[in-house]
Amino acid sequence: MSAAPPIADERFHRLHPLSPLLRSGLFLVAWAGWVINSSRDGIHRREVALSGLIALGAGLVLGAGSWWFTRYRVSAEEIRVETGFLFRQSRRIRIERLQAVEVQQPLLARIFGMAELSLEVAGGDAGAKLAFLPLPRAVELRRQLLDRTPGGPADVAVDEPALYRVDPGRLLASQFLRTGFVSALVGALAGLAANAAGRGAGVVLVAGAGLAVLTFVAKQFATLYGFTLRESPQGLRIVSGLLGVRSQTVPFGRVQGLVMVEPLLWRTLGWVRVDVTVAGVAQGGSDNDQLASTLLPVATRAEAEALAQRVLDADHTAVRLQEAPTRASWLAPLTRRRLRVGWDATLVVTTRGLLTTRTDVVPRAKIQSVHLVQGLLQRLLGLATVRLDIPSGPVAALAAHRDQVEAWQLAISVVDGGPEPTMTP
Amino acid sequence: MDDLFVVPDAPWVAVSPRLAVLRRALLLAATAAAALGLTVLALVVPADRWILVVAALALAVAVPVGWRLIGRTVASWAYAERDDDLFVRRGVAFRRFEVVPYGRMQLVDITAGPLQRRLGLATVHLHTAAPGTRARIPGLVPLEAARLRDRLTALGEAQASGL
Repeated sequence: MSAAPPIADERFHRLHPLSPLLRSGLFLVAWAGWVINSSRDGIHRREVALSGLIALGAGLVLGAGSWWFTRYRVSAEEIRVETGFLFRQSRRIRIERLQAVEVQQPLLARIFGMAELSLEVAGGDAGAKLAFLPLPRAVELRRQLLDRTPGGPADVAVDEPALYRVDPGRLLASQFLRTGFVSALVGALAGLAANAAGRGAGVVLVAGAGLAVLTFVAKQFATLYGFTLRESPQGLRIVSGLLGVRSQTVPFGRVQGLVMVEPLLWRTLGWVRVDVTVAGVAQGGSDNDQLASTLLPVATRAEAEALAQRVLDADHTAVRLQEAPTRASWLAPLTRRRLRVGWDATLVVTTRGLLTTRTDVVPRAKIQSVHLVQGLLQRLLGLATVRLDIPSGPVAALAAHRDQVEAWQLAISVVDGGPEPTMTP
Repeated sequence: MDDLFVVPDAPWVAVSPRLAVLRRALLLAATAAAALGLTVLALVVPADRWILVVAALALAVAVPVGWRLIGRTVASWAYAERDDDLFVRRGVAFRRFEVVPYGRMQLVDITAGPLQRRLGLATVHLHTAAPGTRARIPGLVPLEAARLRDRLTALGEAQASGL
């Protein structure tokens, strides 16, 4: 803690004076676009200029006010953030309660060498954001804060060799080979072929859809570009992004489960994506949330398995998997052989999926509850499905269409603390 | 009732049959509302009589079927308190069985609506950190509900393992 004095000095600090400009940057860009667009016909030029000036003036005044009233202070035990113009708010965050400290750089901030520091605590809305600080200060602040969290000192984290770094070519290829993209392509080609006979009015439609898909791919690529994984004392540190950069720490102990996803075409190349469920990282289904839980965007099976072993602290490949019984073909004719489940003293592993296959791994100690369901058809066939409940996230371990006696045994004994179940072949 | 869900070391405790009374009352109320709606419709709209006859017949079948189904569903709803975890089972056609270890419980709720209160019933609801946990025991006598809640929270505290 040699450089401690400039930050934990018990004094109030303000954010960087450029902050309001950077925060309203997006709005400015949108407004500029609108101006350029409407000045083409030249009629409303004056109105446009006037509205722009008013908006800019109001924005600057409000921004400057908000900047003036936003202050933060770091002391030995807590961070205090005061915000608010008319409604003042003072928030104190205890450093020992910090779950994660992230440094993010949106594009505009990156150009000016600024960064946003977000302080995450368990319980959704309770954290705080400091936007924006100069990058070196944000990094230093994060280092000092993480030093004081119970995880221990973090100063080794900076220059450690990367465990994994995504290859840009492979990343781009992988995004184009996703099942969703390929099926969109097939659909578009079919649409074109059907249209070839009659004039081709649908070409525009197909082109529009194609553009949307391309935009999605480009966004994914930009977010995952340069994805680098390092080990730090607090957990795995992830840095990624082409335009905006985000860096994130996934603590080992907070990983509730892990899933390896293999789209159809990736399988032929031996590629895997690895996602994790971390308690507290909300899963709203939006792209950002999904990316926040990615541990490896695209990697070989061997890389993925090595990492899984490190994260789970156990070898999931040693778990013997067993297919669903033959009579399950009545309910899952195409995927019956993929519906596999297995468990050992520490882990439960399940696989499923037809085009995109997935392997879910959940430590038995992390299972919150277990439920077994049996529909009418399953009952006639003597089958049942067991689901393992863990906090929300991408991982969903379920053993579908098992023999009902085996399912019952699994359900009542899989939670940590019960005896290790024996599988009846 | 069935041979699959046999608990080795604790008895299944059924919920109160008064839950069936409650649900059947709701069924009758809904049927009465639907019948009233149909009558009004028949008087106001000069529609095809066939549709109304079919609707009335459907209602006439639905009531006894629903009546029996409620009886069987309520009879199937039961819980068992084991040393380390709580079992809850329910359902006739679509069966569901839930295991919640005491140590993983985050909170235990007791709720009782106005009708439930009039009949002297309450619902105990168990929550863990997983949203998939939907362990719910309706139709408990308030005394039993409070006893269950206190026991569950005490055991949960003793065995807490968190996330």
